Amino acid sequence: MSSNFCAVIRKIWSRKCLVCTFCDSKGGMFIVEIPSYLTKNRQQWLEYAVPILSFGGVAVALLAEMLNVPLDIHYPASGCVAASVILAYLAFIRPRKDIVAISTPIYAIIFFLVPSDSSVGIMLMFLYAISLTILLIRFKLRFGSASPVAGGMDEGPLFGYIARTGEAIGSVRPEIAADAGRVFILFAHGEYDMAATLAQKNSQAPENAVNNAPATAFAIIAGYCAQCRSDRAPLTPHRHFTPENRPFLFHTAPDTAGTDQDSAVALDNALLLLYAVAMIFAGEDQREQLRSFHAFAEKLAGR
Amino acid sequence: MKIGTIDVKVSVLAVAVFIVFTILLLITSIYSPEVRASLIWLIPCLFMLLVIPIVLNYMSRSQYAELTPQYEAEARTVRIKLVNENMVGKPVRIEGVVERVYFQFLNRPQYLVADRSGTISVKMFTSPEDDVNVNDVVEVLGQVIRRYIVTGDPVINCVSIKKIKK
Repeated sequence: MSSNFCAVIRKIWSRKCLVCTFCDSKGGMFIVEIPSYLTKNRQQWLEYAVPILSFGGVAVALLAEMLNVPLDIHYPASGCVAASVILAYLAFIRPRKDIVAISTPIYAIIFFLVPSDSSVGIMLMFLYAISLTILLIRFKLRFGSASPVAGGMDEGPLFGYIARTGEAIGSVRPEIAADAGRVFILFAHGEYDMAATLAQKNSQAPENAVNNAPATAFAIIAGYCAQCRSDRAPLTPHRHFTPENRPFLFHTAPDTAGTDQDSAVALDNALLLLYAVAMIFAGEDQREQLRSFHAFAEKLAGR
Repeated sequence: MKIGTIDVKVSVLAVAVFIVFTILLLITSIYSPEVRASLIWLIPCLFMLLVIPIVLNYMSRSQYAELTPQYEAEARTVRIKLVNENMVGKPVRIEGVVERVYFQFLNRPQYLVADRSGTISVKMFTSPEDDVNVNDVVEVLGQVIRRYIVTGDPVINCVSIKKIKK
């Protein structure tokens, strides 16, 4: 892994390269570290905490009763409340929200904290702990893994692609990089007219084969935005990436040129190329702005 | 049932409620003289169970019918993959195949529409003009919203869903 790669990463994410924690300026020794390890590990611990806290509360209440220890049942019941809050947090950080799991703290407060005529019993706590565990299993099976944004932006194929593109392109004028970022943001917002105007402005006069790739990307986006104005227009771009542009593309172009699928892949490639160009060569303010669109870029990348 | 140009549909649930309460009223009026004495207002109330859903459906259908031309003019054709949370509030047009249909019996159908790029939920808060079923190829006009108003993944608040031939 070269130090150039690290420099690119430092520029993209404004911090030290997390892929190689210890690497010297000559790009020599490094220790590989999986950046999402801690986050995933913490989530795993939080998942374990749900049954541990809820059933732990039940166990404490049972022990107190068996040993005739005078213990207010609300203390062990707080384990169920804490487990509910953790479950709600785990459900909230997922891209698809499980509204049932998110609302469990409300029920925990009603059952265990709000004073009511019916007293809190061990059986209620036990049934509640079972319900929380079932909900945890349910949302793990039905609502998938946690958000890729929360999981870390500095990993995965898109991250590798940005770094690779930065090295391959070498340099892009800051104003073009800034426009690349603006076009990507406008496109993500569905502001196709403004995106088309800006992309059209940058789609002319490539200086060389390297700069030809971003210019083609601008042209493809301008073509798409112009075409999707009219009802039921075929979404075929006017320009295509050339075989020389292949090193700069994220998705491999399908063999069937001129089809809907081909133009869809070309558009995804164009957007991802502009995202990569902006993330590497644009100013810090714009990179900061672009980071909030990382989920959209990941979606285009097919994650 | 057609009121003016609007084809009004009553949900199965509303009809079921009407039937259940009609049977209840019949049985209780046979056995209870007090209920029989109150039939003069109980029968209109019973019919209101049917009339209110019809009126609500007419109102929502006519409102959606007025909105459709506006969306046809403003909506952009997008692939499902391009719909993202930054587009909340934007009118869009998508084309795809209906993979699943939910809650049709409530007159609040929800469709899972797929194209080659992905799938998206299409929520409709009234009954659609066409009877849309699984495997139909459809054109959807609507607005991008979040699934739970302020949070959740982007879904389409459908104004019009029509079967198209492809």
